[in-house]
Amino acid sequence: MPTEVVATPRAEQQIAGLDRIHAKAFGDCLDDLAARGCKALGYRLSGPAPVDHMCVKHLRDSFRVVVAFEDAAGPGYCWSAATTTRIRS
Amino acid sequence: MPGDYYGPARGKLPLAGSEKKPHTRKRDRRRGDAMTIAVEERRLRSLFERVEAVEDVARTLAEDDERRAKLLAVSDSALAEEGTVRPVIAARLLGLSEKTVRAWAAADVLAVARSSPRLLLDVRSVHAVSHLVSELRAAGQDRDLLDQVWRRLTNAALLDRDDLRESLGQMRRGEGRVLRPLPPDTT
Repeated sequence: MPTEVVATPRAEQQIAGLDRIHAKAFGDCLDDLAARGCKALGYRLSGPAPVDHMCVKHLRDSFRVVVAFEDAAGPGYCWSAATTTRIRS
Repeated sequence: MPGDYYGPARGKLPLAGSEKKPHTRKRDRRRGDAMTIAVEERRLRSLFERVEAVEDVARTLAEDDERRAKLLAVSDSALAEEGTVRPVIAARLLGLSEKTVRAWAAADVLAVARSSPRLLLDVRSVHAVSHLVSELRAAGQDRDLLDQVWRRLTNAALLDRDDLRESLGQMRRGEGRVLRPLPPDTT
């Protein structure tokens, strides 16, 4: 599902601090996320809301992207944190 | 003279204490090790049970209740006092093979307290992982146990991160900049 990806200000700080290799991995992940939505992510966290609206994708080393969906059902917004972006589909 | 009873070793004079058969020493030592492992396992199992009893009581209290924090601190210090545990004991406590326990230590799922001259694991870490393993087994999720335990541990640490909480707050306030817009035909 095509998805819009939006970075939070905290995410922008983290993205700006990535080295070339990690920035490339992150960029590829965003492209995949924009094209395929949730299917581009690895697994969903379990727990009470908002935890159950969050998915994780491990990229390189210990570097991972966490995406939090505003609305788990149907199209809506989702965000990633740790390296943080928001996504709308 | 002991040699009179057993008969002297061929071509050698009987030595003091030679009435003991050498192979029984090794067997005795093995039996001794097994006893030590069983005793140590029983002692740690009992410690875990006491700690869990205290934790259960603590969890009945409100999160901002001082008594809850005190009880949890007591159970934590009881584990900290114990300090370290051998992989063979950790394996028995977790219901895993020693090889698996060593692999989990190498993967940082179990905290290593000391790696030389022999591997010793942090008791608190073994206790925390024992909770997760029990939960996963109770839920019938025995497959890929390492991956699942690792995920749960890293996720728990993730949710404690300030940057994640800050980002979630920004998400709720609608703050953000578009990095990848929706294709025009989907809007």
